Amino acid sequence: MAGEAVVALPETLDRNVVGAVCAQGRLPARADVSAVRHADGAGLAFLWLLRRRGVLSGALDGALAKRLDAFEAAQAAVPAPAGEAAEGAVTRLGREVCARFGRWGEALAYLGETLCALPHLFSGRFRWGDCRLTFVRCGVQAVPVMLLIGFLLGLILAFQSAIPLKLFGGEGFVGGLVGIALIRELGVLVGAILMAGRSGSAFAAELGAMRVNEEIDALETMGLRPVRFLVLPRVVAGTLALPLLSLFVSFAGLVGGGLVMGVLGFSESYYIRQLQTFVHLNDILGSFCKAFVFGFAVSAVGCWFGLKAGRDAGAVGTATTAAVVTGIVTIAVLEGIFSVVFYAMGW
Amino acid sequence: MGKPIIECEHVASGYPGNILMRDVSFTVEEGEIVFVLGGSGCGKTTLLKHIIGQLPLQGGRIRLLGRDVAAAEGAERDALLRSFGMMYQSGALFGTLSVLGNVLLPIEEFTPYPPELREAIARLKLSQVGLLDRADALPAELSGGQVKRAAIARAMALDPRLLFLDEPSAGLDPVTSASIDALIRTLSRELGITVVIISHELASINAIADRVLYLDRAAGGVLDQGPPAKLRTDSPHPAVRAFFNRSPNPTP
Repeated sequence: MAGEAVVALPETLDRNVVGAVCAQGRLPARADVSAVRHADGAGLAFLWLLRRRGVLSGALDGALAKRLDAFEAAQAAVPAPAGEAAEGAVTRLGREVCARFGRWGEALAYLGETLCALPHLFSGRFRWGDCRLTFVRCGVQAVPVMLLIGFLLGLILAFQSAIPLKLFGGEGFVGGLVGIALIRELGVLVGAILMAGRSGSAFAAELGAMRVNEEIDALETMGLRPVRFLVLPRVVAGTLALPLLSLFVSFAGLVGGGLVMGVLGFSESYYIRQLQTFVHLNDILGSFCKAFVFGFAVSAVGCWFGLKAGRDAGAVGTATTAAVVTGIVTIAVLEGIFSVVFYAMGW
Repeated sequence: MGKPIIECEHVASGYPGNILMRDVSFTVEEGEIVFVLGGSGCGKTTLLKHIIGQLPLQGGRIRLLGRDVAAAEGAERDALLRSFGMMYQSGALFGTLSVLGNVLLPIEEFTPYPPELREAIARLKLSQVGLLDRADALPAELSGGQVKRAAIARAMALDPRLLFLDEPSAGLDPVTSASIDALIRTLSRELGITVVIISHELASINAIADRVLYLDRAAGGVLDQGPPAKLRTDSPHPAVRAFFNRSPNPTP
């Protein structure tokens, strides 16, 4: 059989020789090693594998045999992985529940620490420079994208609502519909979602990278609280930025809606009258309230996942994804709560 | 000693607008163990990045294994990159792969070996650096010294003819450091591998260096070169003698 042929190995067994012998992706059935005197890593591993299979023929060079023995001994010295003790389903369930409650507890403690750190704003030692820089990054630099999205949102909303309203001769109410939808809900909601994707993720990535680089450990060792030093400036900047950003989204959306009203043949003054009729001060105040809370939530969630990031490179990506997803879910939950509260208040 | 394997000719090292050294010229011959020394910030790692083609040259020419690093493109460049191993100062291990996975990666990508042989090679490399028992650990679970050792194992994975090691002994205990030195010596003597090391570890330099290149930013290149024992006593440059004698005040 061709597979049983003895392969005579040369004096120097290097990666090229091993590559040629294993060109078919198979080890030889038998190998004569009597001529081999030198071997690189690939050669040595090749000899080790053949010797373990018992397919070597000829005497192996003493020095090489010694190196193979050393490798064999190193392999034998590796302790076998300790088997995990069998765990019952109830124990596992209990462990999972405790872990989940533990995480909720940690999140609650973090929220409490962040709120308790707020008086530090007036201590004279708050890092307003960091806060200003973060405000510029998550607020000022986000204005163009907010304007664009807001404008398109208003435009689409007006066009889509004009189609069914026209069937009933009610296209004149498109302005009111756009105004209510944008001021009460969509301006803040879209602004907050964009902020979660843009700034919440950035906060998680920044703090996650600091965790990986042991900068947060260094802060703690110096006796500085990461929440006060790192989280507070970002949360304050995010809380102040979102109301302004949502204002930009709503304003741009109203411009987009106005454009559609113009196309439908209504005058500017009619559109403004519509807005005055349908949009009230309560709507604007409620929207501002929500924007402050959403801004706080998105920033705090982003920072939380950054602080809790693991220490490997992949942990930063995981933290960033978790920050965005949790941020958006938090916004949805808060939106639901606000809807109930505002309904009860008659707003 | 054999033929030249690295040839640096009047290399201007640094970045656009920030030239660290204006005229670096030296040759490394096949099978040599060469240490690159110099004060902190003089540009040793930057020079290394020029040599391996990771950073564009600001002037001059570098030939690696007979090929012009800057001119190599496409398949030729890929072949050139596979012909040497590089250990980064930080280790630069892939965080999502286990230690074994890190060492296996180049073997799986570039060799035709059957899977059991690939794994045997990777485990052999780990045993050579004394890290076989941590094969399944993730880089984040390793100590600083273990990261270095895993990085050396990965650099050696393809049995390169040329090995670059950036601070291989820094942070290692003396025993592990000595075992790494012995490994480097074995690779060089038995397999003719050329090793270029950036390090300030005098014990390692004295133990295994064939030659030392002392870089100096003020001189704009190689201030002195030769075997460490010779430089320690006979170098005409006070800074070089001071380095080898661990003297804080160079005396003329």
